[in-house]
Amino acid sequence: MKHIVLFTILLIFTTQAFGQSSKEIKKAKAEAEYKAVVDEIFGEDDEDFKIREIPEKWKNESGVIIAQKMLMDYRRKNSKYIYQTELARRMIKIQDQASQEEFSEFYYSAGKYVGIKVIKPNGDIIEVDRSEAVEVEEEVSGFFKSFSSGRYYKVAIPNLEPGDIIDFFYAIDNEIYAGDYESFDPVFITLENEYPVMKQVIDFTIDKDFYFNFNSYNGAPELINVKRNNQLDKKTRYKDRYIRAYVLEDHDREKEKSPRWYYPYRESPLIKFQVMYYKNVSSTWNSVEFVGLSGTPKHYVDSDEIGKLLRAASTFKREFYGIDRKAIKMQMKSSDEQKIEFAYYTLRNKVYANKFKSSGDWSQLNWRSYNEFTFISDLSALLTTLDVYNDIVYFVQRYHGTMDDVLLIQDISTAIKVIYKDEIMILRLFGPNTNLGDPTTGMESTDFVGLKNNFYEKKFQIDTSSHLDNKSLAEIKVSTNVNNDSLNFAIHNTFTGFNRSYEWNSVVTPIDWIQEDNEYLGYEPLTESAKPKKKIEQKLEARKKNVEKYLNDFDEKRKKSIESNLEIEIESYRNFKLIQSGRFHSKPELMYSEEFTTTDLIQKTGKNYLISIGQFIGSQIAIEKEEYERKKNVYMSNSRSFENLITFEILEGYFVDGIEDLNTDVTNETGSFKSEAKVEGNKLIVTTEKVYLNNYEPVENWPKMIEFLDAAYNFTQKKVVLKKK
Amino acid sequence: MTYKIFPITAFLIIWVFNLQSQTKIDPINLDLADNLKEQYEDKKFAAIYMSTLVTFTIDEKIKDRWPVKCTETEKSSLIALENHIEFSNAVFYDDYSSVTDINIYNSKGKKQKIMFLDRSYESDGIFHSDARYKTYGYDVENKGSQFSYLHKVDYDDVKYFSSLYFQDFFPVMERQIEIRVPKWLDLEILEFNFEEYSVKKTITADKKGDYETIVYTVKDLEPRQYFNKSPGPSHYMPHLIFVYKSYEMDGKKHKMFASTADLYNWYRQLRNNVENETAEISELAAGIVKGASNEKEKIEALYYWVQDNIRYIAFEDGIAGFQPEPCQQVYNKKYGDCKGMANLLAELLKSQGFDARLTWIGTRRLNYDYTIPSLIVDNHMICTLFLEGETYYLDGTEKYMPFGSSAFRIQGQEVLIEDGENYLIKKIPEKEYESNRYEHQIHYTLDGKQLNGSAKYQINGEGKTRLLNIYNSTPKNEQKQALEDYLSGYEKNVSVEILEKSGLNNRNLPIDLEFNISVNNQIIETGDEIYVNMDFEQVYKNSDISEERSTDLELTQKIFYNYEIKLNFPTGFIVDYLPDPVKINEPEYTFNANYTQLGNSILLNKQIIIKNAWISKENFDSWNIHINELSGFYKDRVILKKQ
Repeated sequence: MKHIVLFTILLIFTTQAFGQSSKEIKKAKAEAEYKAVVDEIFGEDDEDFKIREIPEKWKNESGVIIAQKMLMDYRRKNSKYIYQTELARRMIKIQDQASQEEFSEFYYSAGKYVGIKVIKPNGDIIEVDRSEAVEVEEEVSGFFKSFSSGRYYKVAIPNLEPGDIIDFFYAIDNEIYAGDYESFDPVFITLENEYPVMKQVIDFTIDKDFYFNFNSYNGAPELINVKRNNQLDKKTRYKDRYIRAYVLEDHDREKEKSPRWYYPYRESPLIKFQVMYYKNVSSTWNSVEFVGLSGTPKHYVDSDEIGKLLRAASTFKREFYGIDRKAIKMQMKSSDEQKIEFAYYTLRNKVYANKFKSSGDWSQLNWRSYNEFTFISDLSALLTTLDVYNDIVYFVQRYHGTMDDVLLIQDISTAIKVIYKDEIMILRLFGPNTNLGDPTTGMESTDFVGLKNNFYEKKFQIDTSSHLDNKSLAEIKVSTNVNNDSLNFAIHNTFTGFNRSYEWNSVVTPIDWIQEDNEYLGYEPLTESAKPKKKIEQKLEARKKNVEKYLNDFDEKRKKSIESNLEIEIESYRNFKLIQSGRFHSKPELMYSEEFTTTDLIQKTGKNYLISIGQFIGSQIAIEKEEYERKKNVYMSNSRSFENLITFEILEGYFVDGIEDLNTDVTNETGSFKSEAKVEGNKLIVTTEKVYLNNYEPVENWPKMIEFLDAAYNFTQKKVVLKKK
Repeated sequence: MTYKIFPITAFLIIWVFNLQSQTKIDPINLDLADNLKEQYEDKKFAAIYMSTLVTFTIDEKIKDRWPVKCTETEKSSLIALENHIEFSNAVFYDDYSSVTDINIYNSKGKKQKIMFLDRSYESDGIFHSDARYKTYGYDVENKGSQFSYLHKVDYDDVKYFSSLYFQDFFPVMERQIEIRVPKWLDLEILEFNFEEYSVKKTITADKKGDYETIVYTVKDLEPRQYFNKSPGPSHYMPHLIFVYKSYEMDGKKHKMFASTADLYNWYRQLRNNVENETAEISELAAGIVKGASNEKEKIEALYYWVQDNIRYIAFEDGIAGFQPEPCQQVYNKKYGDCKGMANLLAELLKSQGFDARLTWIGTRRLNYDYTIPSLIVDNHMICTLFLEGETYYLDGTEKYMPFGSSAFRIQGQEVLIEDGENYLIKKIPEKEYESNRYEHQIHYTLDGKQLNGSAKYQINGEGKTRLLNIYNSTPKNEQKQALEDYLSGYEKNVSVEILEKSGLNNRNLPIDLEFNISVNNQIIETGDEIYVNMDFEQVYKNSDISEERSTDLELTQKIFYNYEIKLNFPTGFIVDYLPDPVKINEPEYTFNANYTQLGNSILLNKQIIIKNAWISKENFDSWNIHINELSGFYKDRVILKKQ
């Protein structure tokens, strides 16, 4: 690893030494220096990059990364400037045409130094000429990605063949005006790649006044402190005793493609780090980041630190402006519960419905600016104004990790805790439809800590929802049109819990937001009264047009959505009715009904009809062949259930046959798929229920999940016969 | 580089940032905006008037090339059809042209401050080209507001300005193209796809007789529409082609592209500039043909070597867009564009004594032939080989293409073949759909609730080339799975186990695959009846064409599927019902499907043919009726009954 030190020194010296030279000399020197650096790096005596043989077990892989090393170097230049240097060298063996194609168009970071060479199987080395490289505008990922630069070039690699090895490096040096403080982007790296890796190394060099958060997770190797003695180091302004070095080495890492239902940060070997610079140690005391000791890696963050930092960061305004003082005054005599409801729904109205109302055009709506921080700040201020107990709580989203994994401020999410009907309620950044107290899936099975109480109150969790909380029920009534061999569907849908999320977006419109909020909050239909009348009329006119257009499009969108879910074509779609939006906690179920006609699920066969009754429940997950084998545990957002109640009117003069085949029962500890069919009078009644019992399953249970998933898929393939009597 | 039709998406990348001040909107404009919006629901603005002015100048200092330059000035007066819209536009240029002016004016005609972005235009399959565009934009607050833009592009050499389209991505109420042809320039303007449009044309001479003005006017022009699988725009969009015949300078007449011979001479001059170093290539060729026992084997060895070892990576930069790269460079880099690959292939063949020629060609995307002497007519280069009185067309950019075959994209197209000082015009023969035969034979037995059996597939022509491409670009350790997925039609209900495969390593043979097959969920048992679906590959089921489509549909190949699916049923059963056959034979396609009983088995014969890979829009209605009939056949079932 000695080259990193040498390399950094080179950087420092070259930038200083050229001060008085003429242009030509400068250019010649720069070229010589460039070559020296490239030669130095490629010529370095690094055994890991001398390997040419691939382990037997990876002989059939498309490509194998022989070695990849990334050197991150952070130093002070003087009292104002700092250097950030990233040097990465990667070597991959191309083993088939797929990887040959992938790497023939080669992307690289726009670093100060770049070298790409191809090593042929006979040992010949060909340097890739980059004179025809072109800058690219697209995002670059995976093997080609760098952490300190967003600019990339691409070059066509000549004569690349299976059996070749590509050896490449780039070096980026950023000289940064830091002033008193600089914070580099946090970096999350999962050690599993698209290709297997024989050896990977990440090496840090950290100068005085740099603060370094680093940790390894999920079995990733630990970082090791190494001593370096390099005489050249002494030429820098700073004594080498301040410069510390740390290395992480990882060997023999299999490739991994992220499977269905998986949270890589929970299970894949992961490292995260962030580097910060503080000119004076005293400024770290008021930092909005977790800061350890200069030059020493900080490996974990405890709850005291989190509490301290969040308290410092949350010097929120204590008064909430944007709401009519009279309305607040009127609430002062209400119960805490009523005040909480008022605060939450008023704020939600301001962010969504009211914004829409005043613009009159939702294509202009943009609430991305309303983020977690503004929410916490606004709601906390409003509750405090209303004299309601509230506390800021923090947690780690379930997909991101656990409380033990906190290292960076980005690991933490925040919400507001209130006491509602004698129980803890967590209020999190809302969507336009979210109810008071609705959790998000990332809040389940995770610990919360409150800021006010965390010295004596322990972590707490909120109840994890069950499949009964997150439920979809479709009551499907179907009759037959004999004249054109089509089926009429009338469906009544009910959704609860998390199952509402997708549906809300597709069936509840901003028009509903406004109407319902007005009703709930007791607003007049038109609140722009302060503005000139003419303008309001103009806006109303515009809004009316938009609404008409939206409603026309709405039916078309619903039609397309059903068509794609049931894999059919619809002849006519009609009678959509939103029965209950589920936007308020007092009536949390989302309910709507709709009707349509299709010829796709019925077929005259001889004298009889075939009815594709299985397809009535909509398409189900089809587990693909390569998914049957799985190595990772199963992480889903939440447990859930889906029920269908089908009432099929049997055509007069016909009877239904083949219903025994519709009875299924696959139940195990991971979930179930059950279906039952019976004939009652002139009706065929089929019920189905699919349940995902848990939001997590150990990988051993995956085959059990497949059992009920496949049962549900197979049900969709079922047909019954309507036979002529 | 020539003017190109760029997809709309390129325009939508960025817009910038001028808020128009609140102005009172004339009620007439509001009505106009409403009417236009009703007609063009998804459009946010329309042009009330749009004009392009083309003027020519001569630069007498230029002696080594055409000194004729031109300026294209486009002006539009637009109206907003919605409140708060972001108008964005793009203007394209390249190494031979430059954008000299971009302006936006508000409703009062006041010039607005704008910013623009300059980006390189990236198109699929081209590694890098000199095509660039500038995008600029303008925020309009109120529906009915009018605003206008103007942009100017200067072409340094008119050779590279060869076509002009009428339509834009917004509707245009009145469109005008004015071309001022100076009397020193002999310019022929060709009109394409005017049939469905009433284009008015006037020609007037100016008083002094210095130039002639040709004005085309067309009203109520629909916006450009793009549909998947559309033919190239030159097949259906109204446009003009500029053929530059000659110019007068210093009292003398100088030829430009007056005839195909002139076009060829220009190409030839570029071709003669190519500094091929053939020694290395001869040596290479000698190595490649070692072991070949006859001429054909030698040609195959060389052709396939190029296909397998030279990657298609295209740089279309300046003159590199027209002049082939020297063969030794392509060989050393092992990549090149079509011209470089054709040149290398020709040199390899020539070094072995074959008569191989560079050949210019326009792919099917272009609706032109070589009667038009213009750079617009071709976009590709291949190599023609004359052998024993036969003509062969070799396209080095293809992969897995057997000698003697050509890809559909160049079939039926005219070629310009070098012939020393002369040239030859020929046409690549078009293959019939039979050459793309997919032969699927499956033999099932009823096994409880499963169909089990064995199958033989044979894949020829374009389908074979495509499968070989997919197969070989799949990681080695996933190829088996990829092939099985392909054979199972990517259906979860189907499992296959490959027994024999051939042709995956020999492009001269069809691909033959033998495998065991097992199909779930295709049988319904009710009482004494069994309903069976014998066909899981229901090609073209529900493939009706949307009513909105306004362009012909062009497939990437001619289609010929031939299925023979046999089902043995157990004794004790009789055939109770067989679906009615489908027998549709139209000039553009054929759907034949029928079941017959043969003793204890049922045979499904099915042929799906799309004869010319083309469905004309006037046939969309009947296509939809026939697709409906075919889909009905697919949904129907064979019924077996217990005796």
